Amino acid sequence: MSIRPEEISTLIKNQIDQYKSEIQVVDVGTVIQVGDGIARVHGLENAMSGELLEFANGVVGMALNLEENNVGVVILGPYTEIREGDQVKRTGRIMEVPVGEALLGRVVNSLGLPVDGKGPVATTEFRPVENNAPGVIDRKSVHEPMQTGIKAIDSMVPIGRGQRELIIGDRQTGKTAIAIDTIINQKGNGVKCIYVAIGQKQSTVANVVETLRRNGAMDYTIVVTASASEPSPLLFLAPYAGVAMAEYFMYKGEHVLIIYDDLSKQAAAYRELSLLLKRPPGREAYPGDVFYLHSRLLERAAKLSDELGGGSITALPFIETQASDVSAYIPTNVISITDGQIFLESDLFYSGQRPAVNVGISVSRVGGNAQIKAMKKVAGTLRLDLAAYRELQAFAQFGSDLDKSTLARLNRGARMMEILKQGINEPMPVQKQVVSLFLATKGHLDDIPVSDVLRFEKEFLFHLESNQPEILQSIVDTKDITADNEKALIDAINKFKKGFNVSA
Amino acid sequence: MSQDLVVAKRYAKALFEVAQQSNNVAQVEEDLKVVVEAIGENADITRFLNAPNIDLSVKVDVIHKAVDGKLADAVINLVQVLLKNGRQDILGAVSQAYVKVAGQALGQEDATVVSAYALSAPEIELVADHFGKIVNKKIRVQNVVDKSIIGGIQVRIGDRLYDGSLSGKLTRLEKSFK
Repeated sequence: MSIRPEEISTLIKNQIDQYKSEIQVVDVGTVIQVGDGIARVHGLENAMSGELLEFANGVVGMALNLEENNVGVVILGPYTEIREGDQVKRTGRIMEVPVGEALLGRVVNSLGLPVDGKGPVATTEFRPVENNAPGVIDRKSVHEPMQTGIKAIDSMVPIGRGQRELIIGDRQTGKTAIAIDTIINQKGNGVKCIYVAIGQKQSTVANVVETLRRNGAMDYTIVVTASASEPSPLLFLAPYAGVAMAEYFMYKGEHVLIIYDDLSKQAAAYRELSLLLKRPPGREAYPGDVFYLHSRLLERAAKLSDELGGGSITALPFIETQASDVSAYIPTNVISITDGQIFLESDLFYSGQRPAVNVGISVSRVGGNAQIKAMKKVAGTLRLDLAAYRELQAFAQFGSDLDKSTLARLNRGARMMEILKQGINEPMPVQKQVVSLFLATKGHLDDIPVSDVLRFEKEFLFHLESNQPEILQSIVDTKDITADNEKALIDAINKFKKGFNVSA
Repeated sequence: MSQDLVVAKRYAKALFEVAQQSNNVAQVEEDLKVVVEAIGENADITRFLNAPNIDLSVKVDVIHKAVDGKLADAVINLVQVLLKNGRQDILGAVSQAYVKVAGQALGQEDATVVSAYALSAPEIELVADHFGKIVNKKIRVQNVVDKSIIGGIQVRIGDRLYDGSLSGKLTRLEKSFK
């Protein structure tokens, strides 16, 4: 078959005839002022609050302040190339981020753009960063455990799926380590994890990502990062971007763990923005709506009712205190929003008690229902025993002559403290935690020197796993310590003790 | 700055109502522009009006002598009221706000049409007609020549930009490749 040139000409002629040029219709405004991440734009009278705006050089911004004759815009990107008089276009879209399974394993910024150099993220779905929290009837009370794999937390401050548990402490007290351990411990149980790094050093984020990858945890984790070098609007936005990604999974009926590391930096970034936007400063120069900033974020963590698929978002917000001052503005705000808090103390940390959880003042207001029965049995009295031990210890420092029962309680206490110590990146499954705590609280470690407690625990658990896995399995199956497996466990302990060599 | 704009809007609205009563909205707009030009372009007059050591009555007198009979009464009175209230700085803003207020009330609006070459009168009429139908208003076209748009036209009415220029299309094409 031959192609006749005339035919082609006719085709082209038709196309030229029917060619209709497209006209782009947009609302535009003019930049009248730029400075430190914000711009004021004249015009754009119809702009919506929170709408995405596009500057002449392609950088996007978000309308935050709508005033009588200008719009206050936060610039989400490099702002050095934006000049006075530049055109700003409305996009008609509310700020949104890409969501979906394709994000798992990736490191993205607050706009959902990849920063790990692995090419574009193949997602088709978007969710608005500002979204309403589930209402009262959409929720269900927290009842499933969210295991952190950390003995001190799972036993005494249990966290349930859908809970918001604050982790608070000074710098360098192991806050991030708890986050990483918790993420690693979710391996294989279907929980998706989102780690939001706000105002962190790039190197720290790189370390976290590397640790997660080494432990095979990146497969189910999204890292959202707005590092210290980024302009404050991105820091302010990062947690909302993270929770938008989490909501996608939650409304699909899956379970999500989201970690905000840390919200004090987000509050500082928001303070910067607000002051530049000339909103009136309040206490500690934070704007009036800094409480709402955190409450609307944390309120989006929820356990959905069965009609909605029963998904959940568990939020672990972090707050960094200055010199253990928890009565500062942001810490008190977030403490009052969350369902409990875990205090980390530098004194404990430096005395070798790691994780440095102060169990005396750490609480979980809703997680108790989410603990399995076996854990409740072994840990029920732990908190009180430890409180009594600390009291006794302070008292015993002054006298040398102690009666037998006091000495015994001090001994027991020291061993309980010891068993709560745990190495970094070594989360423990719940059945092993139960056995460990069983050892300490039931007095099976009283004749083991304190310095050998951790070695005994480790070797015994190894022995149990390799020789009598049925005991561990029965704890998993029944979720309880029944008379049967308790007896078997005690037998195993006694047998193992005979072969255990106390180090000199 | 922003406070001034708000104040200017109030003055402009009041002026428009006065002008509407005396039925010379267009005349007032013209005259207002003349005054703004005269005062704005001459630093001496501005300095004279701003000088605190010259009595208000002297300033009013001078204005009267200079423009009496040449401008609409409403405009002369406005200048005097502004002087009395110490708001002579916002005259330019009042003029801009007046155009907007008048346009809204009379159903007309200014359009800036950017084209690669100067449009002929019939072409301008065509554009005004066409866009007048879109926004349901009478359009007053101001033609701006800008070679950098290459071809087509860009029409800006208020905050809305209708971009049918070749350069705009090329930019969009470029973006779609990214």
